Amino acid sequence: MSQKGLSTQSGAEGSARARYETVIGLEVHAQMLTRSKIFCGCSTRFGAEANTQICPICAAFPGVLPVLNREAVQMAIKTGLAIDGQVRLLSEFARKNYFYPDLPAGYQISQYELPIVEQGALWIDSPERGEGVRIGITRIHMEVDAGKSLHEGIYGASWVDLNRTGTPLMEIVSEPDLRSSGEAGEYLKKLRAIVRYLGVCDGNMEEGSFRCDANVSVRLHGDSVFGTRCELKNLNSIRNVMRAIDYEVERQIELLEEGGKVVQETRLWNADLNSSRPMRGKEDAHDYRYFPEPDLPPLRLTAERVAALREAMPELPDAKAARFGQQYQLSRYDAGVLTSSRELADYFEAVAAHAASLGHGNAKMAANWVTGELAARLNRDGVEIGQSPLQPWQLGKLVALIQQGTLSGKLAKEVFEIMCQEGGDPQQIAEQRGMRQVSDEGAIDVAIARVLASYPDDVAQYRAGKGKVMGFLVGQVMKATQGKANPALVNQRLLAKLAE
Amino acid sequence: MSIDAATVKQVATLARLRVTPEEVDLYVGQLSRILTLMEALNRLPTDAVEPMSHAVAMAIAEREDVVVHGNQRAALLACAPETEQGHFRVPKMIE
Repeated sequence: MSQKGLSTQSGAEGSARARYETVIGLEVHAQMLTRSKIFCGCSTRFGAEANTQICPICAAFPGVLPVLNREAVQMAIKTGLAIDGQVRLLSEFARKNYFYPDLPAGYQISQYELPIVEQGALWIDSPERGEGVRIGITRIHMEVDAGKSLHEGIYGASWVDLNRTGTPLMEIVSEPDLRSSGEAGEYLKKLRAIVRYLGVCDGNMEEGSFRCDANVSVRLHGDSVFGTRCELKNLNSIRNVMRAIDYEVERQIELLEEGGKVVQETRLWNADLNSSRPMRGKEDAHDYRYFPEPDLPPLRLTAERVAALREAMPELPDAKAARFGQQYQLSRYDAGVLTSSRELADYFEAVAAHAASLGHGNAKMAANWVTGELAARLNRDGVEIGQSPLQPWQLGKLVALIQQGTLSGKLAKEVFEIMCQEGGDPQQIAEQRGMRQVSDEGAIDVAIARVLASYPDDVAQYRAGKGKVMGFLVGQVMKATQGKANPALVNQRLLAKLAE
Repeated sequence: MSIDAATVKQVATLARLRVTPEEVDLYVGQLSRILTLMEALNRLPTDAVEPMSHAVAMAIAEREDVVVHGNQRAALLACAPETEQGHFRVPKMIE
């Protein structure tokens, strides 16, 4: 579809654009992976038949009382610790009042003045500003999710499904520290990796368990005050977040360049049209008439409780990536890719450990196979590492076979393919199919002798100083051995023979 | 401190309350008196006092993360004015 009047970048517009700085803050709503809802004992399972997971509490019948789910509190604390935040020992629930049919109480139980976590941060590698840029996290607060409204195909009415009502959410609010759509993407990837590592959220943006709203404004470089911001909603993938931000930045700059003003509003992103449209004017905060939730006393945590959770923290992505760099001599990039999920990191470590147990500890090669051949295969099949066709020991043994010279890289790829399709032990596969790389000097010498006898002119040229001929001769020896000869050994023996 | 009629109407709108002009006048007077009383607190030294959000000093109760409710759809939908195919039926919403 068209860019809705947004022209492509010409020279003059390009320079206008360069005068502006983009300022982005992200609000992430992460559904916590508790079994039951935050204030009642209804299931939080996704995809159940409409209204089969509701009770008088989450459906907001008169006279009911909410009782806080301990696990939701634990998860919020863990997330706060993971982002280096301050966990408040005293926090409070508040009512956020608004009317909408999928909010049966007429208010959302949230946290307002005293959220459970404040002043955190995470670090991203920015495409523009380089490695290790700090992105502040203002707060994390707990709140209830709303229900779902259905409109399509329903004549003269809307339907409401309250299954989701009362599912525990963490709202994670960043500082306006992000400066590009690329940084927003990196921030979301990092945050999602963290909540997944912690097991507090599945991070599924398509199913809506990890949702993101983006506050976007632009200002001239050097301005000390922020421009008027717009809030973007309906961003159900990281790609859409980035595209919506790019669109919004273009829209605002174009507006300002034409002498117009940005109006503070909420805009709904339409991924199919690649554009956004205004949804509603942003209500002022006091329109929600927050007040302390009378049904829930303040939440007081003990320092011991927080400390116990700190003790039990798993190794998080940044720490793991740093360890991978040191322990396995991996590049920052490789370590980052391998630690993007806990499952992938564990898989890689199992591959490397198996190869090492066979006496071949080149973890760089293990990393290359996991991020290269295997990742391509998983990507092609659209599956995660958990559904890998290969067990770590299979790939580990394959890597060991390459390192010990039994398989060439080319043969290893063939064995890899066979293992993916039929399973099996890479060593047996290679042996059964005669795919063993020939590292036997005698056999290679025989092939070399035959080649040297067949191409006396080339041999003479080489000896006369035409080093280029070497490549041709190596190729002929490889051909004579049906590509099975160990290329390094062929090189070495050929040089020796030619020097005689 | 006094509150004006426009504010009373605005609050009534936000709370979805229908108020008559006579009621607006009544509430302007009553709410202004309440706010005047609150203002008295501003004259007291409260710097060293922790803000109080609840009148009763109670600890929050936490429950274990266990699913205890099964499917109660029929009973709960029966309380709604209108239902359709397992859903609450409400007036058409925009968007």
